[in-house]
Amino acid sequence: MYEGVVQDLIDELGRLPGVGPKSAQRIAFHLLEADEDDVRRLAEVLLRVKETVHFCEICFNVAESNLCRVCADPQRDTTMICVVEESKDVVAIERTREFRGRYHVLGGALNPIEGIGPGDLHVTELMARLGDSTLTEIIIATNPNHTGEATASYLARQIGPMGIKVSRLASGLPVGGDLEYADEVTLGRAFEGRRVFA
Amino acid sequence: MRLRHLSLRDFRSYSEAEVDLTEGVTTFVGLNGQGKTNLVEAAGYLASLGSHRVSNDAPLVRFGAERAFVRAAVVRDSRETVLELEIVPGRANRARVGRSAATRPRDILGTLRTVLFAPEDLALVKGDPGERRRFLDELLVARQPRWAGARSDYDKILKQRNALLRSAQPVLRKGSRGGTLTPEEAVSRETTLDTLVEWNTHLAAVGASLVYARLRLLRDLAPHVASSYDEVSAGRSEARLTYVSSLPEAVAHRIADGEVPEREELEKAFHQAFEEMRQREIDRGVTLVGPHRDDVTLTLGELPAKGYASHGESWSFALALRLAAFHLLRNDLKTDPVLVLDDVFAELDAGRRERLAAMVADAEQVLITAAVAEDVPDALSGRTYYVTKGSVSAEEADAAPLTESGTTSGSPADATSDDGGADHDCRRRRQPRGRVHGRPDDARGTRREFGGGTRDVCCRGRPPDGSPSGVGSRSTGCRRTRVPSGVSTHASKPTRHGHTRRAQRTRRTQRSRPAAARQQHEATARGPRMECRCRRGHRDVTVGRSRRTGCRGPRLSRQLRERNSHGTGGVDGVGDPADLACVDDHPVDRAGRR
Repeated sequence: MYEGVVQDLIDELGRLPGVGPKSAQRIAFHLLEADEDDVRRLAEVLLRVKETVHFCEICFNVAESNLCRVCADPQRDTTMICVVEESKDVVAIERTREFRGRYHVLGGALNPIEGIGPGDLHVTELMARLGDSTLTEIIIATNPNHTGEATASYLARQIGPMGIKVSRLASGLPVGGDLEYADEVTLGRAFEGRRVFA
Repeated sequence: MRLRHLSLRDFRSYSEAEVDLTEGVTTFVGLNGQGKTNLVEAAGYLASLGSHRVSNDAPLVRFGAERAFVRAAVVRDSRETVLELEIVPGRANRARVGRSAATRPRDILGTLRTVLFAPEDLALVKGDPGERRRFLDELLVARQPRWAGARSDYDKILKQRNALLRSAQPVLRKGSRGGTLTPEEAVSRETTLDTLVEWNTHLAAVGASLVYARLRLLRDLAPHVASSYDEVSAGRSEARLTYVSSLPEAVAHRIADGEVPEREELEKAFHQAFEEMRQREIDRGVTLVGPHRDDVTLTLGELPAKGYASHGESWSFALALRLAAFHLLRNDLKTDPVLVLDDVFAELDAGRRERLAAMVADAEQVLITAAVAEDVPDALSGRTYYVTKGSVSAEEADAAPLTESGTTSGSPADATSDDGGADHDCRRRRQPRGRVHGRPDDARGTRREFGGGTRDVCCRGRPPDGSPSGVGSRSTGCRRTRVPSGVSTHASKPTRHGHTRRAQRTRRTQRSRPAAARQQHEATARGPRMECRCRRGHRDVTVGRSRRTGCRGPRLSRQLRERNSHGTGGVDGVGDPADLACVDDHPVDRAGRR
């Protein structure tokens, strides 16, 4: 136990996800030794992020104004919506520069153990967006685990009757990897999802 | 394949042990509680990353030590591989294969294969369905590792589905019983049923492939079981295995007849079952169909082994199951797994001993433990090691007799290393009836503590101060510690009649229970699975109303409770005390789900 405010700092840091007591202590001492300017900058950013960042009114991605950058961009393709679980998934997909459509952030996945049902996700908002007549395809990019899969098939069944094409991201072998290092589940999936080549 | 060398550090009762092993038979001889089983347990742990005796790793580490090391040199086709495993309770274990850098422990699976028969295996015949399911699933994974993934997938999906059923229970119940729903509730009911369909689909897909895999395994295994039992018992009666499926009857009948339906067909049957069982599942808040509810019936001749077979026959049947697994793996791997026979001979008659010896003599490597060297037939003459107080030597220790007290005063790991009984065999059990472990004057104190709702600690994991607690059952004389049903998740206060609060709730539930359900409940409570959990054949323990709580349902076995509370349940464990739960929504049931 450290005295007063040092311990407070360690406790606060320790509440962050992925930070255990040891890491918290290390970060705290790093901050103690850092320049005052650096620390001030960090503190200001922390405050500003809470004050200025909102969620996009359309897709629930993080945004600095009412709309996120993607939704505000008139050049984005309006025929496709990619459905993801979290904002960070948007960033991951944006990095590929493959997808030019828009997003919809659900804010999680169906998880009865944690009490998350469709009502806790932005599903109704997604349904409202489907009324757009230019829309031709929904790409479901939830995580390839069992909660993500359940969410995906739930959405597919809800959207299917509306006559919009629903696709799901492929899962399988990583690019640049070796077959021998792939685990059985991934390899099995890759076999299942194989494509006709010639 | 065979083990050439086994070395232990801080494992169970061993601070250090180095054992050279050769092809053929190696026998470990020693008094009870000296650490024979600990040696073979270490070998089994390297092969399966789990102990056949305990579900968590803490008891594996020598008392007072922080971590345990197990190292083994495995020879297969005259190529040697060194496996190293560091066991740290509560943290991830670390493993090494050969000289490579540390890898995930699961990467060492498959390098060493063992088939281990231990006295605990008697539960395969006499115990709950969960034991048999685990046997099948473990063998499945040993043959094809990918089933480990399917199993854990099934577990996770099942947990989610159960959670959904439970959390949505109020609104689903109200809707299906014709109660009027507010518009809000109606929407919530609709979406819940919608999501339930998703979990049904996923559970059906994974469940069907799991059942399919089990059935094919059983088809391959059955002939080996029959021939192994035949050989051990010299053709006394025919040993058969029948898969008892929880799927709808039409399919279940065909499965029971030995047919293996296609996977698609099983999946359809799952959906049909979900449809038929919906009301019951909603009422109970658990999934009632699937591989986690299935069983394998073992039959000898015309009669089921459980409840009818003698002790020796049950023992032989359990042995036949393991030997069948050995033959199956031998065919698959094109090499022999290491066969481990832990304390097997003491319970067999002379004829069966000789025949067993003849059967295993051709295995590449056999490790045998025995308390009495004379129990091991001469046909299995091999190298003999003498195990004394956590040390292994090739020569017999000097005749200085070890007293029982001398062996039990050691660490808890020492105390559990007893391999004398068919079951967890606490020596203190032999104390006169009506007494509790420890000083007689402690008895009352302990008993009162129970009534007040203290947590029970079995002699296997004694409380830190070393004072064991536990009260024998008055009706059966069973000295296995049990948690009185009043004591479970909540520390409940005794009320007017000395009943616990939980008990009162029980009686209310019973009053309101419809007569049909009660009959069904009683019918289930009469079945052969109602044996006392001490597995000594006390039958009446769970039938009839408990004097303490008024509970009529079967009690939850300690094992199941342990598995649930550690969250380490396999397909069977999953917060679903399925085998023992009362038909109704019942406190016993609830306690198991915490």
